[in-house]
Amino acid sequence: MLKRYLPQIVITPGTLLVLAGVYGFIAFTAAISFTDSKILPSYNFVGLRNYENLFKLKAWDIAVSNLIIYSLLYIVICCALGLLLAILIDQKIRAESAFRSIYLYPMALSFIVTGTAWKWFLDPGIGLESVMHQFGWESFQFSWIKDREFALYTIVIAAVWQTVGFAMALFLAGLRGIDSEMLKAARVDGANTFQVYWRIIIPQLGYTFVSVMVILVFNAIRTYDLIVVMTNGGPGRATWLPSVFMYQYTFTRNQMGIGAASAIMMLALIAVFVIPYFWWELKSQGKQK
Amino acid sequence: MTGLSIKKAGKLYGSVRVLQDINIDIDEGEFLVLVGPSGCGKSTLLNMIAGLEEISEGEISIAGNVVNDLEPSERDIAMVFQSYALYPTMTVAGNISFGLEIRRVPKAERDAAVAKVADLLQIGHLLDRKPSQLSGGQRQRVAMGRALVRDPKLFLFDEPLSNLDAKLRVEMRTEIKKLHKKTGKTIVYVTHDQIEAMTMATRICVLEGGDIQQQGTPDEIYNNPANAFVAGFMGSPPMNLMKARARKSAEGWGLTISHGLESITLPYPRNLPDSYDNRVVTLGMRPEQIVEEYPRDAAEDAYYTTTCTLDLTEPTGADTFGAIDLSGLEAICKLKPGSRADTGDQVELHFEVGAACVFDPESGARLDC
Amino acid sequence: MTRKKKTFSAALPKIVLYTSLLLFAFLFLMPMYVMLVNSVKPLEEIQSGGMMFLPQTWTFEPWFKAWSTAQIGVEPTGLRPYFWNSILMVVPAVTVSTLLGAVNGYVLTQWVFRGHKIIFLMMLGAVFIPHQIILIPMARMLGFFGLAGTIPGLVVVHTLYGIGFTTLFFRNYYVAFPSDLMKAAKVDGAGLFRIFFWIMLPASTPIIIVTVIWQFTNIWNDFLFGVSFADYDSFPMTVALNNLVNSSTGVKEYNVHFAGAFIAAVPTLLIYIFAGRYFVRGLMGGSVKG
Repeated sequence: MLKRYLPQIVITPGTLLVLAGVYGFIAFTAAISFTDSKILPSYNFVGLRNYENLFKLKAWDIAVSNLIIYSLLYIVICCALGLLLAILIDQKIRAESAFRSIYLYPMALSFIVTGTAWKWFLDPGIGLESVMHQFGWESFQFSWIKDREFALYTIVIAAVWQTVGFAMALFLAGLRGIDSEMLKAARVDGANTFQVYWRIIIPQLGYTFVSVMVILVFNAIRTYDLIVVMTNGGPGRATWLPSVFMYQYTFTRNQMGIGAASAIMMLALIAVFVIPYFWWELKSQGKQK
Repeated sequence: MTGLSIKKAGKLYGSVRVLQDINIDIDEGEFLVLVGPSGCGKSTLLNMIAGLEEISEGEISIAGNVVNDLEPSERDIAMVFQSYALYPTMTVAGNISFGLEIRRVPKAERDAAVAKVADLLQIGHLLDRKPSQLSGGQRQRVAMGRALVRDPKLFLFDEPLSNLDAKLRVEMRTEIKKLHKKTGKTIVYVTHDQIEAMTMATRICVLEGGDIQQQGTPDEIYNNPANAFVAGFMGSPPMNLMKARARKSAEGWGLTISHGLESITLPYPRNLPDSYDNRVVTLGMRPEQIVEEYPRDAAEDAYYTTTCTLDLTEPTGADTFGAIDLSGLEAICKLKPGSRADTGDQVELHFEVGAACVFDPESGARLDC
Repeated sequence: MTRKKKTFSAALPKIVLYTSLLLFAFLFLMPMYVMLVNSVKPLEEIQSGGMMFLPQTWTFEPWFKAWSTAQIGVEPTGLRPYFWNSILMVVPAVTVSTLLGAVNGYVLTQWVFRGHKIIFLMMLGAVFIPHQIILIPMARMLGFFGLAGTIPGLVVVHTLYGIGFTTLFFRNYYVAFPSDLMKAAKVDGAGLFRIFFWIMLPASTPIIIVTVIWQFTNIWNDFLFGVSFADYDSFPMTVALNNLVNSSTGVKEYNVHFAGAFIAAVPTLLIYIFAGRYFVRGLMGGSVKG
């Protein structure tokens, strides 16, 4: 009896941990989002009131519209730059692995470290601006990080710097997966390098594009550390994202119900992208086998 | 007019030489097969003709024009690849017309050309499909269509049939041969399969170790191999190459081989260089030159007859082959069709000595002439 | 025979290619360079500008200060105790989550039972949750078990949310494992555990390295769990660094901040330099699912 169910028994601890710690906790957070919890959880259900309030809040509005701008820029730039880097690396260059390692190393760093570096590099007092002044370019101004209008873009810069190597690595794997005879065929057909990439290679990277984008969306929605260290959400609320909102409302402003509702919204947003992706991938795998 | 001319071509990767002193001249409309074991340099040579690899030494001209410094697209060639190399994101029609599109051929002309080729290859009903929706044989046809549509001076085929199953391979072999007859184009075809070479070529070039071993028509290559390598590589089952001792006497040359404890001396009607008297040579005889059934219309002294013990019989349907021990080699001989002979049986075998080849045992060079 | 002449116009694409490659390399290295050179400068030199230049006076004082005397919590302890906090948190969390992942991946591929797909999908889903979704209940649970604000608490959290990744890694590795080997072992009478310890684990070195490196990097670099569930005694390195950098009191000692950031980055950077190949495999493995 024990032997027969040994596989199930062996996998139980891990499964239970995940079942409780991930799915149970999601259910708990969902439940809290329907209560009037403040500093401590309460079990006084108030229906959808937290969600109604959430959508009325200016801060949430800002966080969501910031997220849209931030993630669009982040994803588009990461994809474009990542593909460009991958194509550059793919040109049978010398010292290929050195270049690859340099483009990818920020992935090994903590966002806190990256943020520290970029925070001071972009600081008008000691960073880029002051360096330019020293080089004699007195009128140079770069104080985005202190500017309500532009602070969000500095987060984009740092985030791209940190993760674009990852997009590059995925695109490079995609490029390298293309049959080399096909590239020979294209040369015999007379296509130039640009035409080979544009007409033949990039259209075949559809799968890679989808993978890269899903992961980047996930990264964008999760972004939190970088903001805390670079701007702490400021100036004002200029760099609030839903992740910042959730933390602030739950732990600083003691509006746990609303915080929980915002966490649920974040999960829903990710699910919108990730679930179709899983479904699509499992289906295409089934087809291959 | 010449279709392809290669003069003293060679290829070096750094200091590693993979091809040397390649000289080939073929007329327009010929079907040249480059054949050899893997690593012999045949694909490198094809890539050099295509312009996909640089020509380290010598000169290659296609239809009279030197192409050394031309891009693949400027050489007026088309190529069919082993993996077919179809563009997966384009339809069949898109694949076929891509090369024309790059060359800015107007749409109407392109469509007409595609339709014509599709008709020739009977793939008209597949034009809107993607490569992933095609079978292996259909992909093969599309790959050929992509080459044909350009109407080039020279077609290059790089092991195009090796990804197909056995039955389809035979079918496509015939098909390519027919296509060659119909279009009259010059073709260079690379394969490691000597049967493909024998059945399709008008001219065969056998390569090994970066050298051309022999060039000639299939007949010449098969019946008159230049050396032991060609003799052993071409033909299925291959030629038996056994050690023999050559002796010159008043009656002429004799070649002594052993069969178990006995020795057999075959009277050899052709002449050998005198220096080989009383030396070991390599005797080459094809299975169909060691037969159980005395050919009806053969002259009486054309064959030397002796009795041998069969080690094994191998019925293949149409023919039955037997294995006998000749000088330590499992030599293959041809038994009567439907022969009932079995392992250990004694059979009378007839050796067609006059057709046998003799090679130097070290260099493999042909000795008889 | 004629040769193409190597003219400038023929070399132009190569020049453009290498110029762009080097330009990007510069952009990627520059922030690290800035941090490094400024961490060995006296503060006055930084304040007077010249962020890009090598120091005029070299000093390692900022490194010592960041490591042992900078004010982070209540006491001027430097980052040292927090560095050890991180080590004490990372080592058990990596070990346990890797082991659990290996067992899960093994059973899910080699001992499939009804419903194994559901369990796998469940594990996969765990990889793609925003961690904000579990902050509230996890804080409650840690409090309930008396683990709030402790290192063991962080170990539990990181182990739990690492299982999804580790299972995924091992599952993808074992799914390509030659099934004949399993069959032969079963025919020979080996059981689940014997096959795991005698056949699978010894053949798993590459994926173990990948998983350990991935988990180490992720847990070392985590900030959200640390800031949510730790307190002054149990802060991991990242939280301590953020406190150092964003403390609002006193003069901003940039050189100390940079030295601190570097100290926080050293373990993962070392791993990247010496085992970059495995790190990249982890990245790719995490992205190419199921």
